Amino acid sequence: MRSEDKSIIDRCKKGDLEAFDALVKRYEKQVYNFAYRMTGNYDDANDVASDAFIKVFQGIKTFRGDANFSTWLFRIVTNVFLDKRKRLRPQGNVPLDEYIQLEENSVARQIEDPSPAPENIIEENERHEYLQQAIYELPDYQRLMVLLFHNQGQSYEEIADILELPIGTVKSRLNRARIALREKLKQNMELFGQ
Amino acid sequence: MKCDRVVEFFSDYLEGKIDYALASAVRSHLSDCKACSREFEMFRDMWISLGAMPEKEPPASFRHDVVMRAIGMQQERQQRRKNSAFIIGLNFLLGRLAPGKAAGFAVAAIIIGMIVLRFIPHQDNNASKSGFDEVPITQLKTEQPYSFSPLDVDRKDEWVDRKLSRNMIWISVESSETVENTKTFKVKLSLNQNALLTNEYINKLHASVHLLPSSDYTLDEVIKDVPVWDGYVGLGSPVLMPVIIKKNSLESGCVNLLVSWRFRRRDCNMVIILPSDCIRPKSSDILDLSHPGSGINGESISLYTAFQGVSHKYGVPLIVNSSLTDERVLTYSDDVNLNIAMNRIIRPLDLDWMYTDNSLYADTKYRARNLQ
Repeated sequence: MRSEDKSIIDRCKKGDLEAFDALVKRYEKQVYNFAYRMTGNYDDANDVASDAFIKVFQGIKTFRGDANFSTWLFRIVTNVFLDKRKRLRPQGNVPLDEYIQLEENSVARQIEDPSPAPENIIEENERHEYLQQAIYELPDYQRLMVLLFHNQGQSYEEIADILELPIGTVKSRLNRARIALREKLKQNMELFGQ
Repeated sequence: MKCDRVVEFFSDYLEGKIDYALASAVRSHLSDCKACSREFEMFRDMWISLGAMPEKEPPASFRHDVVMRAIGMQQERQQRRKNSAFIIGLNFLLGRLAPGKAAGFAVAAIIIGMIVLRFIPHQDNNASKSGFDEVPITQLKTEQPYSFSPLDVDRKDEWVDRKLSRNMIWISVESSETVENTKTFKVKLSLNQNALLTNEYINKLHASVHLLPSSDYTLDEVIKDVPVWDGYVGLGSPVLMPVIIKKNSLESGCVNLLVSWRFRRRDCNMVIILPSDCIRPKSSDILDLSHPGSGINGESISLYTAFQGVSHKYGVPLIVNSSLTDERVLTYSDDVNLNIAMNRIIRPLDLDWMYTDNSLYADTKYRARNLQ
């Protein structure tokens, strides 16, 4: 464990809220980004990420320090997501023409005018959107593995720790997940290399 | 090697984690089979794209909201411990009674204890006294200063984000008019475009405004649980609302408005002070404090006290509209000088800073300082 993390964590264990604030600051982008990629929308990502940090706050005393803090943290985020997934919204990525529901009426989601962005930037954004959609369509555990490895940069060993699976299982399932993702992306051959 | 087998090795091949013989077999197949070669190219493109996905930023208020939840939990835990200690103490006391009587007294004492505990003062007692139980009020600690890690003054983006996340709705007092015994304030609410998250695409918010009671004055006509205004504030479409006070009831002190709104699933609140004739400095110009110790009079101090009091009492960030005109005032570092600083920049109708967290946040034109 990094020594900076250790010092902050030790203070968190004593109930030091400034230390907890520093911990959240250190990991909020990673956690939120992961939660967004898992849930496909900002509201649910916010809920998952926020609840995960609160669980960290509640359970920090149980963290023994024999593994990476980030491994422990992502295990919590994963479990929060899995617990919540039945209550999360059914749709995946927000369609570009979605309406925002306010209390009395709805207003169209405004799309920022991308012009005069160059064509390759637009295409790149579209690739990411389709990729996110395809990721979202994967079964939960496949999605988790793909995001942990490719998006969060976790190793096979760390993923095995997070998901509490044998490393061989992680490798074979992640391979299956990549193949499945590739199949989904074949629907848009133009953007992905045809 | 057959086509349906080679795809199984794409991952290991890309990572260089297969042995030489197997890698040769894969390479050989890919050079002979156009379909698999194309498939491999697409697999590799996908692999690269997965690692290049842009990072989604959390909302500016995310960290603040999480820590606020943690603070709330910690306080609840402390309160539960106090309550438990009370019950344990009571049981211990009862244990000393004669066995026959203990059982009956125990039941009665527990019932009494639960009734008493219901009325044990806790931190939002002030909110209860004001009669605003229904109004969502974000409570900060009132027993000790509400503090985060002091802002690094060089990291302007950070405090700007924190300020802006609380300043989604800008409030300003546009004018005030006294006609006979009635004083009318025209209060403008508008959405602060810079405060709305760039990835939210939200262009209006529902808000409600309540007139807050204060120990400094009485407002007989105020019906506390009815908002003086309730509606939507749209981007580019500010709302001008009248707040009418009977002048003879405004004896002294501030008139405060509580503005509440919900942003996504979070309740946001802030308080605005409506300038009072009794506490406004006599001159509408900035007090001249070029000589230390000058210009501090009873009125100035009471305005500062009022700001601080309102902020702490309701546990909400405080917005008062005025503009900073002298950056030097921001370098003061203790409460006495903060007092001077705040009084120096008082022009109630155009202030543009926020006092909260024992820190003074200034408009983007000025650098912020942590004045603790």
